[in-house]
Amino acid sequence: MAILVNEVSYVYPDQQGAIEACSFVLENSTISVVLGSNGCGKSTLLKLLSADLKAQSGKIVIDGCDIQDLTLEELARKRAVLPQQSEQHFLFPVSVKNILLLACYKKAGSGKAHEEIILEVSQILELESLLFKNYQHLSGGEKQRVQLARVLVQIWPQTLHDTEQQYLQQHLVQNNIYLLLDEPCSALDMYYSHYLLDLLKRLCNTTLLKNRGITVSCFVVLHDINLALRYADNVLLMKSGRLIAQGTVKAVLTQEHIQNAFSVTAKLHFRDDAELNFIETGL
Amino acid sequence: MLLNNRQMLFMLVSMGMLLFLMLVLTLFLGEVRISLNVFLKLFGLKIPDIDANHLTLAENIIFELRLPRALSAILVGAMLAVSGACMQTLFRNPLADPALIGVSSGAGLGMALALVVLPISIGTQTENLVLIVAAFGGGLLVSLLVYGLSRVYWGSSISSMLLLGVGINAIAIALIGLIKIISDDSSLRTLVFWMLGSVSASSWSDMITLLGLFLLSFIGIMLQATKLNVLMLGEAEARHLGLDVTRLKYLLFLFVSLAVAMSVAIAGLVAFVGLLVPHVVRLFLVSDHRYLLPASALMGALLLLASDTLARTLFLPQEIPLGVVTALLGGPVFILLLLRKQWHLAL
Repeated sequence: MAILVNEVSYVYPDQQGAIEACSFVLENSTISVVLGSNGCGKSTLLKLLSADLKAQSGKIVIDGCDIQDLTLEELARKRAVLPQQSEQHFLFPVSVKNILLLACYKKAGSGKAHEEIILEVSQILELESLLFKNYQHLSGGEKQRVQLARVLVQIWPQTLHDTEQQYLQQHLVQNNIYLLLDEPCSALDMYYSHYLLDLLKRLCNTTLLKNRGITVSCFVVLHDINLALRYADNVLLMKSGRLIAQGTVKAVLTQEHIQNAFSVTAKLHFRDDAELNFIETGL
Repeated sequence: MLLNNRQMLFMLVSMGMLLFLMLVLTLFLGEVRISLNVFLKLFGLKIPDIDANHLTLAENIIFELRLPRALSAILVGAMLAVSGACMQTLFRNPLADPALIGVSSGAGLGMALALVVLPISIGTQTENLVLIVAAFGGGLLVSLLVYGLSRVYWGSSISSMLLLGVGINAIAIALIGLIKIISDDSSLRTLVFWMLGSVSASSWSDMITLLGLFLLSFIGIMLQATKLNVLMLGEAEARHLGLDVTRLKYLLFLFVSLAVAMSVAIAGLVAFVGLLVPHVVRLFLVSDHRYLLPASALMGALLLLASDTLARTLFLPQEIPLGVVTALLGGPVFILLLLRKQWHLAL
């Protein structure tokens, strides 16, 4: 199963910005990265996938269900979303842990199970020391990591005991989960940018969560072309609301495409084994 | 940083006890002096040698005048504080308060119209009921207008509702001003006193209506407490977590208009409680709505009860409007708290 996007179009009520006839497939266990210049429709596309906006024509199908037929609750179990400007400000003092507890709204399981999940996710994102701090006092990058943790907590499965694990493996019950992240690295330093994308890659490709019955796929809007190059399985390149190229990193990130999409010149550097290694850009 | 669940429960219980003590004290204080002996006797203690006339007088004053008035103050304070807490979360704005988005002035306009157009004055049972209905009608009309307009034009975005509310608030206040000009002397007097807020006209019949509607709206709002917590994450974020934000907004609007219209009909425009109380609770106690809402209710009740007691005892026999006391008492305290806490205002 996967997310199928078929000839989807969307125009904002004030006629500004639009998505025109976009079609692509978000395959399971892959990271799809969307690239494109400012205002080309990356976030709009993500909002269509998260069902914040309703496509005016075309169809989005998640695991065989039309996105229009899914309730908010069903959607919440299928996907988690990091919007671009996820609330950076809380009006009132709230601890990081309480924010993560809020992500367990509609989540199955007991309060104790939720606590375990929160602890596990905050260890993974190196947030344990911040758990009891006031969110308002955190730095921009720390806030973004907390928001990422919130997104992960929403979909994170419980730790399984051995017997349950065996049962699951025998019966191959796999739930597909989609992470839709809009510029998740915008406030992160280099270390955490790599750390996050590497984590996403591990979530998609390793048995870390598959053993607990969860198959993760990611749809990520990025600006750093070299991060995309290193971590993406699939790249979607957008220009003025249209997909101008999609496919593997090597097929999409060519000099012509980059020139066309971003109006910059690009120089591709290859490794000895002819793999694309680094893209140098300039005016 | 903030209190944990157990501390919070303890806090709620102590606030409840404080409120009870305040209530007893308030019944004792007033223009007519009641001796301690008589007071204790009325509450069941065996005290000999008390003049029967004196006892009847005291009984009437306490149970027919002071008690309903004190209970009105408690309920109005609780309603305003809970409504304010909801509005601030809903609008993601620390300045949001039922008065700001026009619900109270809408209710006020409804009442002012009823006072001037219909040949009634505050006092009797049916007339009070008419005023309550008029206030509720006005308040609900304004909130539906704000909600409807913003829904049609901006997909019920929160900031559009806030701005529309400010606009409609201005119109309603201007219309109340116009009504003042065309009203006769006695209506004007009632209107002006009522606009500054007062719980002086409370009777037992009001109390039962007020209590019923208070419970309805308070339970209605309390049932949304967890959802309000999720809404703190932001509207889109809450929707992504599976919360039906539109439905939540609709429900809250309904219950808050009910609560506010009720309190306006009983007590007029009492300033500041809805803004001050939830802030203090959030700053010093808790931001989890499951505790924030009851704590705000208790603190609002305490503040209003204390203010009303001061309003009717400070300059005997003259009574000061309640709204004047809440603002004079609350304003400086609020500013001091802000300065001391150097609160991170997200403005």
